[in-house]
Amino acid sequence: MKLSIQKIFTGTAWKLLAIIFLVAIVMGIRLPGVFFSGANLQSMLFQIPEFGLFALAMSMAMLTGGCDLSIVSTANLTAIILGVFLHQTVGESPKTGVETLILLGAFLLGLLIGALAGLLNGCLISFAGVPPILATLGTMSFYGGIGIVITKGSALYDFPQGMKKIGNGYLAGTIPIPALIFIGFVLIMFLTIQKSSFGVKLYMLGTNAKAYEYSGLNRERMILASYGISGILAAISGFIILARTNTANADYGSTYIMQSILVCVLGGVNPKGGFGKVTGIFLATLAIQMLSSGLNIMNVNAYFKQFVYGALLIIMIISNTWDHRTIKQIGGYIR
Amino acid sequence: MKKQRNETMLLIVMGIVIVIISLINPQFLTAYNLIDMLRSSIVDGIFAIGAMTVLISGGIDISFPVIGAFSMYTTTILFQAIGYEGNVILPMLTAALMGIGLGALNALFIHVFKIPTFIATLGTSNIISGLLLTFIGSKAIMNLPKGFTAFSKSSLLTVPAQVGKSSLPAAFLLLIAVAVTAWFILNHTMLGRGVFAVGGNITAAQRVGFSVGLIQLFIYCFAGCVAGIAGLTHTCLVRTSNPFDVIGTELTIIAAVVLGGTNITGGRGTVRGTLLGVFMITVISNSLIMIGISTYWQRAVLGLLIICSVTISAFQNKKKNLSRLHIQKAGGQR
Amino acid sequence: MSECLLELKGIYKSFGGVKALQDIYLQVFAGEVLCLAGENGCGKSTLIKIISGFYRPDQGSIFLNGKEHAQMQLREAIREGIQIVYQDFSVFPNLTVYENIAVNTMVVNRRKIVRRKEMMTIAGQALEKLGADIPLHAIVEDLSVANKQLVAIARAILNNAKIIVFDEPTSALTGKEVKELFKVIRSLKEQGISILFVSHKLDEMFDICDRISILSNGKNVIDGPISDFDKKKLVYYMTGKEYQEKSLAGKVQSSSPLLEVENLGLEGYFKNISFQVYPGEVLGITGLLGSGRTELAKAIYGLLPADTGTIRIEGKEITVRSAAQGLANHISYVPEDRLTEALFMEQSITGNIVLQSIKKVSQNGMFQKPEAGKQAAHWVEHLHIKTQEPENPVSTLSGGNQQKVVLARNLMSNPKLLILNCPTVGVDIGSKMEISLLIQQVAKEGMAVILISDDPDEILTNCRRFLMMKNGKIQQEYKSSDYTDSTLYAELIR
Repeated sequence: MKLSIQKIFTGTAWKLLAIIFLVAIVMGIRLPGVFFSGANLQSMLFQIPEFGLFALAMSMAMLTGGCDLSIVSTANLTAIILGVFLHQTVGESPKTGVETLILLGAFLLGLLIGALAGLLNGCLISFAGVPPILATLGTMSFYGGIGIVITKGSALYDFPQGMKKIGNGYLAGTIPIPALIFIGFVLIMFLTIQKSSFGVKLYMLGTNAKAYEYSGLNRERMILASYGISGILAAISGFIILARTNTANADYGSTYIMQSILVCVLGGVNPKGGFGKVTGIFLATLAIQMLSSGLNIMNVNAYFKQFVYGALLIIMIISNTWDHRTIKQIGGYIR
Repeated sequence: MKKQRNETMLLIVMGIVIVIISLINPQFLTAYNLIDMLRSSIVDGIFAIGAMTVLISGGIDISFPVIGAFSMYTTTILFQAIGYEGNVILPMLTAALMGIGLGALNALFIHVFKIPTFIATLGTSNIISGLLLTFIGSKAIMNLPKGFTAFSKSSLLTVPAQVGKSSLPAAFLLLIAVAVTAWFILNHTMLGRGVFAVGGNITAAQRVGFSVGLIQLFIYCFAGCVAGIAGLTHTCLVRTSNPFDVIGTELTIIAAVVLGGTNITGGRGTVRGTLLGVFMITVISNSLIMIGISTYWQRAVLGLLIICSVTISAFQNKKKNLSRLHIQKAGGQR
Repeated sequence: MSECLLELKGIYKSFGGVKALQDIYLQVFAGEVLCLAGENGCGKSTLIKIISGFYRPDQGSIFLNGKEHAQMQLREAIREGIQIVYQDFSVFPNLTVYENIAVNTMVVNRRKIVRRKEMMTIAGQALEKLGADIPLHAIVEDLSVANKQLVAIARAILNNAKIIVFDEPTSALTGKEVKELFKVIRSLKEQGISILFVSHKLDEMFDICDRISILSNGKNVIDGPISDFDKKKLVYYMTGKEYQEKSLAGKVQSSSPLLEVENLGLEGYFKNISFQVYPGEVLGITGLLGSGRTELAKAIYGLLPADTGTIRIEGKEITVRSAAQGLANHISYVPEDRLTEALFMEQSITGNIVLQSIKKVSQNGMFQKPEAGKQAAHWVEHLHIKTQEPENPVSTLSGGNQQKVVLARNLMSNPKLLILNCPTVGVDIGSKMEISLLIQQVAKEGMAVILISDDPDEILTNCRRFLMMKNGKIQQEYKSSDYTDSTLYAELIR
């Protein structure tokens, strides 16, 4: 009898595909011309990268059995620091060559900020032993607070044209550049989590951290790495936010935390750690975006959307634990 | 004994902070400023008692501000609609009952469906606030029923301030009542000991015959009830019912509870420590203003404070585990 | 025999179509110590859960004090005088000793208000009955393991306990503490309390029990007075296999030691430890819990770095400050508690086996799944791990097979030195024999092995020489041929 854990996730994939098709069918019937219009598809592709990256960032923490509530603050802090950086470096009308170089520098600086923010989380969790929820709750407030100190509570705006192009431009006139960046990172994360030995170790750490250490593997380094990656992904999301909205604000997108946890749970990531796949998260991102766009087109207000997300989170987690329980029971009787 | 050491430390730190601040700005240690600080600790203090109960049982509840907002706003609308003229007691009970109902929802997901507490309360807080803002309303209500304003005006103690006067509202008694009730339940009833037992070892609690389901029902209903009371108290004190008002305070309040010595992994915590923690947070945010630090720094300082308090708490747990090894060693046993 | 307190008749219980218990019959008489024996997975724990009211049987009847209880509840069982002392003690680490002891009584009597004085009196009396001296106000997490168990026992003897079930009570205790525990059990018996003693340690059964009832695969095998049995017979009934009693230890293969430990010390745990292990040798280290044996093993592996002394592998001095460094120096460690320290229960058998040697099944950092599958299949076959599918989670295996997965992981990393810390605790007798043979085999192939155990039989079967640790020091070196199980046991607890 083949009883692999993968079955759970094929289960997840089915659920996700079902949601995607359901939304597509409902929308196709109710608003055929609007939902499947090129404009709507393009606007979805512009919205996906931000929270898709947040979901990937969240999953890095959740796979270790933790949680990273500081991702949105990290993104905003990154956007703010990059904003200051761009204001300082880019003059009135820079030459294109110089501007490209500066934008590249900003991107790299963003990665660095994200990594540092993530590493601080990692240190608190691995060396001090603070429960991840509380540690990142603290840093969430801290990073957000630094952002406020820098911006004095208001928003930064007016960034170079090149930045706008990254955030709002198209490749070949059809595919938004942020979506390309997102796809790139989905592939990288897919290889990292599902195909590399790092991913195998991550799953193991998330299942039993003590046994991980006793097996002669470095627990602290792994936690640092996963929160570091989480911070980097969040920072990239911050970079995209900066480029797309052309503003940097310490309070942007606080609902993204909930949304990214929802995407992870929907995508089959076990909040207790050890299980979850990038493919699942990717599908879940699409499903949530379709749902969100659908609700928007139907003029559902933002508050009711919150309700839908909350209910979906609870329903999905109940159905996931149900799957796990069934597996466990079957496991029990083989014994 | 150990619990008291933590509280003593907190008192000492608070003392030092107060001394330093009052050296910089003598306005700090005046009767009216102290009363102002007490006044602004009331709502957070009530919320914190509920949050503490959940933390002791080894869970975490982030839905209580939303429950508070839902209860206060719905109650206000309800009593405004019927043209209620009486005092605040009936509305308070209504808000508390609503809180209990919403808390029961948390307990259902946590106990029956075994959802991790953080995820469950994250889900319910979205559900509840979604319902509140979509179906009940999202506009602030300024003209409250008479009883509400009367409650906010009744004061226990009034002292003159620089401009006008500063008074300690009767709502302070409500905080005391909630605190004493929580203290009594937690320390002097089997139910309360059950909360500690669940936080210490949930399997063992089941085995000795505690009904863990009922205990968890109590914990989340109590947190909900207290949140309802806190919410309505807030409405009375600020004389507006704004559904967005208390939402988002969970962070500060959980920080205060942890600062007050409640164990981050459950099993330990005191009412007294929690109240001290809340007051400490108020003192710090108040003193930032007093010594002329821009309000922009508030959140960063708060974040730093949370990071420090959870880190200290975590290190204490670690040290305890280590020293336990040594004790057992000295006893020649393990 | 005196009156029958508890009688189970025709008990059936199944989980999801698998029969855990079939037609079980069990009697417990007043004032006797009955041993419930059987290999892991024979249905002992399910049966206990039925007696405690935690599970309901699918069929069958339970007679308690002559009354039939078809649907026994947890609280009802407690009121009727059934108490369980669980393997993990089930104490509340954050509460005081007196609360831990009296809480049960209070809950069962449906008390609403806490009366501390009354609780203290109850707790004090219970401890006095056991002859235990534990401060009532101490917080339980600060107590030693043995005292925690005493707290659990004190809790059990309250409420007019008539039958106390001890679920593998000795697994966390040292030899000396076991003796103390047996004293307590005998005195309980004298007070007319019946004991249901669940164990699979043969020596203990003969030491403490009056009668024995053996289960196998969820069915009754045999029961009768302990005097009708000897070790051979017991093992035969429990496993269906003959009991072997002969030394397996092979010969040392080289005159230059693989591991040399010199003056190793760690403040508060052990000091002045010096010894050598040769390739092909299985060196035994015995000692009670708390003698420093586990800390010594962890120090050599790097989990708990020593603060003085030197460790040499093949003559070269090494520094081990972390387990990763130990592994890099070809040292491999099988921890004491496989559930919390070694296994990733919900992950696949394959993943559990290859984790430590993940580089061997990776290329440029990419995990090679087919290669990993091949490796896992090899070890599953080599160690006779009973599974149909290596992709199944480890939790689907029995205790013995789980331990083999841990061994496979350690052997796959191809260590020069293998440290085994109590490798057969909680392992059924069949797997225990297989593990012994495996240890001998890897030693024969040239590996140096350190076997830590407080089971005299295991030490004498596997080692030619062994060291004994007491209070953090090595007493002296012993030759296995000079000892029998009982003389070694006597030496151990002296």
